[in-house]
Amino acid sequence: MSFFLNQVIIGIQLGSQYVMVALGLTLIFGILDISHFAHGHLYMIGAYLLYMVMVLGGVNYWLALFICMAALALVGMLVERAVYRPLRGQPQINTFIAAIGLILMLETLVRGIQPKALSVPKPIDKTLSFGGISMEVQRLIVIIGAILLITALQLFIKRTRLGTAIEAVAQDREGASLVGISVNRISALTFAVATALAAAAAVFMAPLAFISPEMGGVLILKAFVIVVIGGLGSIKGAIAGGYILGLLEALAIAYVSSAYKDVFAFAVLIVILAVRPTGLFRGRD
Amino acid sequence: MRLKTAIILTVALTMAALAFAGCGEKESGKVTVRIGLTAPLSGIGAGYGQDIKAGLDMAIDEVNTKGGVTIGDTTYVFELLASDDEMVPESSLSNAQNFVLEKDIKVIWDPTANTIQSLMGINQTAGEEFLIMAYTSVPLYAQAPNKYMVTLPPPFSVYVKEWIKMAMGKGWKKMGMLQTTGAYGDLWGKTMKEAWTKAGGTVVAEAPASYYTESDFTPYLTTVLAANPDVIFCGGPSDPTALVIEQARSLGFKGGFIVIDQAKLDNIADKTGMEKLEGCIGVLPVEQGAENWPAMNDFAKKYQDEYGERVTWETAICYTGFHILVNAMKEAGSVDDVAAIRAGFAKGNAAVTSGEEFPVAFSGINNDTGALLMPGTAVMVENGKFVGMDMIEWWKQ
Repeated sequence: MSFFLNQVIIGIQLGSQYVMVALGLTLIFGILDISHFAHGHLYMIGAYLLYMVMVLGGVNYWLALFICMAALALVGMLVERAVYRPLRGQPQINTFIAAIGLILMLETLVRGIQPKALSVPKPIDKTLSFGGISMEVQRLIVIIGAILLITALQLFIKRTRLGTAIEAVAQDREGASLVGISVNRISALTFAVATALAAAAAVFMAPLAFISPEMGGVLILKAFVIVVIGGLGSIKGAIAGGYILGLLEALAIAYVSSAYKDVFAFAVLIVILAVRPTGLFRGRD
Repeated sequence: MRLKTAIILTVALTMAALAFAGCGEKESGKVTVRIGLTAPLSGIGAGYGQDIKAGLDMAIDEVNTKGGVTIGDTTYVFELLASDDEMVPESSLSNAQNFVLEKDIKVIWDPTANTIQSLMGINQTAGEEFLIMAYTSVPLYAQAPNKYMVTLPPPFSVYVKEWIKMAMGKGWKKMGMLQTTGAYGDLWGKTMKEAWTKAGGTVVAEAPASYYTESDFTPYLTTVLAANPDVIFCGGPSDPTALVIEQARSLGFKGGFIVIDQAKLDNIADKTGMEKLEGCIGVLPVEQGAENWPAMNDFAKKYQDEYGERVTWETAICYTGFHILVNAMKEAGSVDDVAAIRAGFAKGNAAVTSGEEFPVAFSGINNDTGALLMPGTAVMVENGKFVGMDMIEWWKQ
């Protein structure tokens, strides 16, 4: 029983990371109709920035978290302004190619500067044991951090004027601009929020894994599947989809076969999609 | 008129430059021989591929600085063309085809089992033959005999017996398996499982993971640890292997590890510290190898000065292997007759190197399989130290 519980907690932790990345993707898709494939690579940049700020710069982990989120928010706005905005109104394939270009550029750039994998020390290097379960404190940080950020995002969107504006643009871009909402400002804001979330995910995860230029590639594929399963543009869907995928993976390793865990996890997701072709929640039409 | 002249001049100069760069055959009376390398030069395996490349670069640099090699009445210098394949068989195939068809290359170095397998499918094609210098411990020749392949490091089966002896000597019977997936890891896993069971042990859990895509091994480890193993069989590239060991210790695992030969214990120790490696069994770190082969010390120092980090077996073996290749070419009296070069390895002690002169000692070649004969040494971490065993001259067993 404690083994099952252990896998469930690890599944939630895996899911937390997926949710934080998928939320950004779904927000951007909802607002801008863009498949922002380079999102995972901005996550990677977040992890490298953490290394620079914390390991090279000697800054405290928690302060580094805010620095990375703020810096990546700016990077996100820059990407929106420089890469995607000029392509607004162009065929989808153009933004897609721009995203691929951005991926190649970022990956090659980082690899050129530091080709080897790096690691970041844990801020609290302890393992807790309770009821037959042992767990590194950093994993709890991932789980709790994700819950706090998801709640904060919900409050921001539902309770603030800017957040409501984001939702309005997501629902109807023309309508929103008719009532005086600046679509440009909202686009930039959405990118800032989404990229800051990815940076937070990277900062939480970096001490548990190692940092490499490829780390965003696998993650973004999973995040995309989550967003599609959850319903394109749906925030609730990204949250549910992320946790479901994390749990499926952790349980598949334990009870099915570790070598085929992706096969199992993705087969279940395909079944979900077959039953509900629009995804778990209705997103943007 | 002046514009036209300028254009003609530019075109003429460009063509002249291309003619020089393009063939590059003559360099003050010397003929350049190109050697191909297809390896992971980016991605998680990048460190590994770069180590291979470093060994070849150093050897080629040395041969060229000494004025090249004279075979017959021609003096040859060497040039390495390296292409990244990210360990993808299709990429290694297209790299090889480019080398052979476009660059007229006859010898290709390849350091990963699954990409070598794909090259083995094309290297005997009449008229397009090339020699594979295979850096892999997977004995691929046992599965598919290949006329034009030379294997450099000892086959991994050398270690299996020793490692099991060490582990069972500790009283360990229950093994959990968490090795990397892919051709190399799968074959290792299968071999290890069979040998372990045969020796009277049991495999209590199996959770192989892709060391190239996973960045967190905890769900695999909790699965393995739930079966309460005495020892965990693991390994792939060094960085993720270090993470596996680190995470296993964080989860409270007190037992030992058997680490497959791709992972370097000294590099892992750099990341985890020796304390976490207690009870770790694997391949001898290079520095300990220097006790047997004095030239290794100088080589390690030279490498450290040039590259700013510790030398690996990959670098030392490929460096020595390149010199053996040159010897084989001398014996063959040719730099482009693939069959003759391959035969040259077995002639006139071409594949024998002494530890006084080279960082690695080879005792020749098995002319049937193409395996170069280099001894392997197993090692275990006890009381914070690498405790080495005897060198295993596996070809005599």
